[in-house]
Amino acid sequence: MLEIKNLKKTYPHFQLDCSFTIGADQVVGLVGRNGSGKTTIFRSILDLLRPDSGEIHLFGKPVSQLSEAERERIGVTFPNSFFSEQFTINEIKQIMTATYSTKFHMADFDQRCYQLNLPVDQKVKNFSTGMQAKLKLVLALSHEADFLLLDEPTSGLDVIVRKEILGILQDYLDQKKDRCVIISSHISSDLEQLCDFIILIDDGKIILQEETDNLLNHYGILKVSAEEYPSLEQAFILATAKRKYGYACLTKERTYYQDNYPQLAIEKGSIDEVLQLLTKGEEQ
Amino acid sequence: MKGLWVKDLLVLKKQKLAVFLTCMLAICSLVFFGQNGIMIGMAIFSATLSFIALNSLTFDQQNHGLMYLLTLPIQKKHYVIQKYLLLVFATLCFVVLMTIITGVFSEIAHWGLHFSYIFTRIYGVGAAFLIIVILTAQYQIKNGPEKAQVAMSIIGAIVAIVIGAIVTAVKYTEWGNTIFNKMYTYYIDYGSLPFVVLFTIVGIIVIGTSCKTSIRTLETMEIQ
Repeated sequence: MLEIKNLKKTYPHFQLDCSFTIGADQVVGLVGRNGSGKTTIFRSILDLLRPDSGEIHLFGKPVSQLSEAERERIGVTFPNSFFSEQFTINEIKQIMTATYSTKFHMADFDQRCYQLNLPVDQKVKNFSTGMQAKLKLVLALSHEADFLLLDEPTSGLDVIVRKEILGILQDYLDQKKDRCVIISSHISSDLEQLCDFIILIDDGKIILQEETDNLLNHYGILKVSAEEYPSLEQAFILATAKRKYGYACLTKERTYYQDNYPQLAIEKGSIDEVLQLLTKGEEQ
Repeated sequence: MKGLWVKDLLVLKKQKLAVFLTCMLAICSLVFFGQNGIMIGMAIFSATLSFIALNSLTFDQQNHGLMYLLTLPIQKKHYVIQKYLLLVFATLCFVVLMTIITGVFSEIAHWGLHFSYIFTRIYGVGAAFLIIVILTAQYQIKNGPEKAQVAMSIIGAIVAIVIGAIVTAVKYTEWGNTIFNKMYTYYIDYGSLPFVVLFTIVGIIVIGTSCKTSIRTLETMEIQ
């Protein structure tokens, strides 16, 4: 569904250079620190900036050539970009109806707003952060989009609202096959629950692309003392970082080390830890 | 494009009080300034128009809103065209409204003015202001609302200086007086139609060029 080939964009202190593909029916999490290039990738996919070079194809077409009908198949949320906060939900509904005509499901939208206790006649500026986040997601899901691009949809929200939002998204994905989602988040536990595939990005470059199950089941963090470290098999170590106790080593062959080094403390690698080691540790 | 129209109509609806007050001010200008009030009234209308029309752009640009808006099924080209059509349409509405107000007032006050006399003045002021608003809108699309406010003040100052220079030239120089007399004679001989046509042609050229430039700007700029 989405194909990014050698996408390059240079700013004075930053260079984006990445390639990846997302198929239909895939949920992909884009993880990276602030300023790592996630939003630049999103803006490039949406044709909101011109890359220096590279190709981006969505629905088999260059993104700059997508027709309005094809753009109707895209649903988007941004953390700090939305309709004017002076509008009410009722007014936004009128705009969406006129924009998407028959594709906008007013009854579903009304029902979701009701379920989520979103006041339809109050200006959006009076909404809490959580309410705004819910509204953004409900709007992105209101027109049967096949391709969802969600930039930090759970940013700044408490755990209850985050769960609610992830629940809405999961229901939407369960309703129909071949829906594709690319989602970025600082909160990796959200992505672990939802995503089939994780892309780690740092300083404009992809440092890891892996299936979530693989990442959670086969990756591990070895906690090794300085004395043990030299005798450790290095072939399966992806990155190492110095710690007070010695070294933390990232491996994608956790079982190998569990079998061959039973004395070592070996932890499951969470997305956060993997990211931290790959970005701050020394790559092998 | 239908969604954009609905959005802007909702924005305009929020500013209906400004339009009502402008109508009142336009009537007041006719009461206080007599026939000179026709152009003053239209200037008030046009100033309100610039405020309302540019506000619809500001509404879109607030909180990085343009970025979200352009993720909807809206082509950048259509966004710009719709904004320019809105400006032209709003100006035409105000020209018609001011012409009706002045026509009615002229009848009540027994001024005995011809429709063409009223219309040419209102249309001329409307066209001049439209050009200023169009150029400001072009600047605002590229640079955002804050810089556009400064730009509009500068454009307004330049226009005031140009008008002042023209008045001075007509009053105090021979060549200025000659040109003005020739234009006046031309107006007496041929009526207001050539002037309306001239304003229209200049307006179309400015609007067309500016619209094309704005489309190119929006298509190449980074939307934030």
